[in-house]
Amino acid sequence: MSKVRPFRFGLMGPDNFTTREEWIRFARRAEDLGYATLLIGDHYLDSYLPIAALMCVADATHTLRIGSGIFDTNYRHPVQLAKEAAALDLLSGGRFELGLGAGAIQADYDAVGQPFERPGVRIRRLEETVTILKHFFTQDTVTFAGEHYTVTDLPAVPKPAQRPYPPIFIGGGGKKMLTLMAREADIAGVELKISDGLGAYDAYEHSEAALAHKVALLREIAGERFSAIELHHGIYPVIITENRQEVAEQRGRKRGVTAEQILDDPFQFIGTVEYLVETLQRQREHYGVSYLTVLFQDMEAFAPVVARLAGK
Amino acid sequence: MSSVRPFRFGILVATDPGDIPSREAWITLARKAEDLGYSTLLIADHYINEYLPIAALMFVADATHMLRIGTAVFDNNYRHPVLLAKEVAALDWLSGGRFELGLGAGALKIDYDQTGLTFDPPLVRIRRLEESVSLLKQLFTQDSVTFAGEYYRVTDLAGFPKPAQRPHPPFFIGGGGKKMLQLAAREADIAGLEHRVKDSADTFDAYEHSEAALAEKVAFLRETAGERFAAIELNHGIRKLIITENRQQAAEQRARERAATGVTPAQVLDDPYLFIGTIEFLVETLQRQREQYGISYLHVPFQDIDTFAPVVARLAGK
Repeated sequence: MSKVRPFRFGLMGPDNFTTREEWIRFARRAEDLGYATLLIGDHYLDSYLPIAALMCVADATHTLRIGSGIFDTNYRHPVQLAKEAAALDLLSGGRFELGLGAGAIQADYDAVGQPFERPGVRIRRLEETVTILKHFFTQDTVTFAGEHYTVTDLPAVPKPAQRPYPPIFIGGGGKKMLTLMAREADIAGVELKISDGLGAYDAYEHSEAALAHKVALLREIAGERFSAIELHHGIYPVIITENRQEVAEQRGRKRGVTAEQILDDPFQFIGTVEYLVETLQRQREHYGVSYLTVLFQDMEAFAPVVARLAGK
Repeated sequence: MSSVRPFRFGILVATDPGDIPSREAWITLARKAEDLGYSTLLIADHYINEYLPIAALMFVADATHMLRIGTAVFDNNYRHPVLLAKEVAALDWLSGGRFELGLGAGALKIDYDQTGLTFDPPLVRIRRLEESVSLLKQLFTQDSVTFAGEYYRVTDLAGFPKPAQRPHPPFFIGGGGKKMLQLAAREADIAGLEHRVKDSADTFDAYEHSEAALAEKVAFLRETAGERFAAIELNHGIRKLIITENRQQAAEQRARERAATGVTPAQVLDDPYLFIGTIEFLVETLQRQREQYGISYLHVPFQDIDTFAPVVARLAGK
């Protein structure tokens, strides 16, 4: 590894809260437990959208960072995204991390009657969005003529608090996405490659070998830039247990895969706290992954790992 | 009048670059509005302004206790209604039920030109807004929504999260033409009486800027709304406030500044979107307009927050 980044941990934020108090309690607890970030997803189905909720989380905390986990670029014009993102950063005192993705869940689009275009089109649109956002954050005015967006003489305000801009987190798993991440991301979310159909369990995609391959690809494409990129992956779910094999067999039966496949899946964490700590240290050593997020319902279960590793 | 509503007042935040330069400046503005007795802080939704509404309104709510927050108004064309419903519901319950949902059909062509968006003819924009209003109300009140309109199509979508105010936050619908007033008559909790917006600005439509036109709009709204009229709070926005002992002189100066539009001093004095005079005169004018037209909710540009404060002190809640 070029250099060892300190570990940091985030939470993929709640989707079932019904009161303001629940949010505030949760955000403050995350901060107290040493989590670095609270991220909110961007899906039409059964969940919150990020902007208002992230602002509320920032206002209820002092050091916790906030982030979109991740904005679907097909929902909002890039100028709208730039202005709200800059406001989130400015008003949170520079605590915002800007997560962006190409859109992944077809059901979101079906539910609202929006076309779910083929990956190449969505990724091209995301590329243009990233370019417009970076222009907006660093220039006085934006003029841009792309395939999907045209912006003319737009005053680029407000400016974010973090300069040149909030960390840009891009998440994806396919080669095109990894190429974009290599070029543009401050944080690369190494994810499962999502087949447009979803549903099916792609055993290779869920293997450590696939993760290793993606990181190698990212490193190769990024070249010298690789050392400037923080590597992230998400853990869904965390199961603290003395008996890995038994839990893996149960989960494997539910999904129709073998216990070995479950145990080899870097996106699932099954084992003792000690085992998880060692796994994370090993993965950081091998792949450089130093930023991990867990689901909000795993906040307490994962807290001992955070206590052991955060900032180390 | 069927019933006299108490006066309430808002400030409208439509920012030019640098108007509100920092986090601290937002906190100061929000708390000042609350302390001075303003009821609402409203944020406009234009790409030409510095701030869009969602993050900033949440921040304002978190910096205050009672001040209500709102949009004046969301441009319906920027966001899918499902996206709007979810962010609005979050704003409402994260603010403890202090959100007021302002919606409009989109009015400034320059917003569209700068961002390469299509500025459709007024009827298309209004028709789209109508669908949006229906869809929003269903998302706020129903467990699962299926909607098939001309512009929007939603299938089996859970309306989640729900807002804190039930059945939904007050809908503020602003406009000046007949179609918009008809929509407000049918759907709005608050009707924003505006002068009609021409697609190319910078000309002065003397009739639209007369008290006679305002009276006519209210009469039309009343007639269209029928029994529902009593349930609608009437709002109008004051664009410019000039506190002076000498109305005539101020009007002449204003007319000279706007010579290119051909406006006369008499027209300036008759324009209900301008307030020129002493505090005492403004108080009397608002009382008279409430008596004659039922307008009880006024908003002023945030730059006039201090200038207008004595009027708020005299009339808010009365």
